[in-house]
Amino acid sequence: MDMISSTFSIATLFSTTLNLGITTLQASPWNPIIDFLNALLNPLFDLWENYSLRATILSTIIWSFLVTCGLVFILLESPSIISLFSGKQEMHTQQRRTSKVRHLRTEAKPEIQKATRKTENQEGQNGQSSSNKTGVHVSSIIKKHHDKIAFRVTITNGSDSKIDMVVVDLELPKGIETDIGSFRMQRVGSIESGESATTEFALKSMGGDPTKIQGQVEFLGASYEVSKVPISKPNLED
Amino acid sequence: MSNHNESDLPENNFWPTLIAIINFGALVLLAVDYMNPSAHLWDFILVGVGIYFSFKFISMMRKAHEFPETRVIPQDRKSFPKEGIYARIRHPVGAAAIYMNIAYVCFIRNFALIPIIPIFVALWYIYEVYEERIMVDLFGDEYREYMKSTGMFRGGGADLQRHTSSGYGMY
Repeated sequence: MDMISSTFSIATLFSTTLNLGITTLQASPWNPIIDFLNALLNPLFDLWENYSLRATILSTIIWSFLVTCGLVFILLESPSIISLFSGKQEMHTQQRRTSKVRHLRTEAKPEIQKATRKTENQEGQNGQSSSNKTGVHVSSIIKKHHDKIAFRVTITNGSDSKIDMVVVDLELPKGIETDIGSFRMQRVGSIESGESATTEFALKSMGGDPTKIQGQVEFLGASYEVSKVPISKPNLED
Repeated sequence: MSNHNESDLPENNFWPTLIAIINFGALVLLAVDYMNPSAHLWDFILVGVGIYFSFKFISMMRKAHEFPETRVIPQDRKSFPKEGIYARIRHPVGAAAIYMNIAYVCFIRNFALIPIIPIFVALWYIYEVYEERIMVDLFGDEYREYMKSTGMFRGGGADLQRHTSSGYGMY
């Protein structure tokens, strides 16, 4: 009898604990989130389980990309493709594109163009500029006041890209020295395409000929190569 | 009205187009016949990788054709671009084609492509080496210097790009 009684009490205890557990689960704040996620993700899982649909989606993606890449190639290489089949191999696009780019640049930066033209005119008049294939022009002017010399170097970036780490390095002749506080080398920094930068050196004459001042402008081009443009014979101004 | 004589105009470079037509024409035919139809998780991952390389192909082709010199045959080139994509890679069209070959491998997912793809990659490599020889003959040390500072198909690292002959030790 005692045994039946104790079994009954244990069963009652289990039942109570189970009810409590269910009540706790029902009251959990995660339930609405789980329900929401179920509603959201179940169709996706159903889709994923549909093998033929998956294969169709994959095939569609693949062929879409293959066709897109093919069209991009045809679009970009069309002049070559046309010439390949038609036999006409002269390339007309290059001149047109280059002139168009130049035209756009002119429209976009009129003030820069004006400044460049001004510099070019000065250079043309003085005949004292130097440049190399990089399109960077260097001109120099000397202003003399008694034994003090102001040596001004103007660098015009006529290339299509920015030049960095521009440095002007002078080679002084005998009898010309740097003034106190001035150095033989000056860093100019970066110069944007079509823009100019000027740097001035304070020198003093000890009997030397200032027109024999030489030097070079070093800079880092777009391809990370260092180019050097020599400073041509300077123009003397009083 | 053009001031240029017809014979003075540079010739279109049809060799890359011809190689591309052979390369991708063959691959499209192979894709029709040999594309793996399975659609498991790994297939989706591989197709994702293929999509990535397809985007690389599109991006490189677009960047290469920003420069009109890309379409000029090497013998007729008056200069060679060193900016944009050409500041890092000497042959972006060849690189784009190789990336697209990898994309095809990922899309088709068939072992039949394993012996075929290296043949096409080698074809592109041979053509670019031939083009480089012409460029070296035309531009000499300038092009050799450019070759040292750039990668053939992949962008060089910082060390490659900083190769210069400047007096600065840091370069």
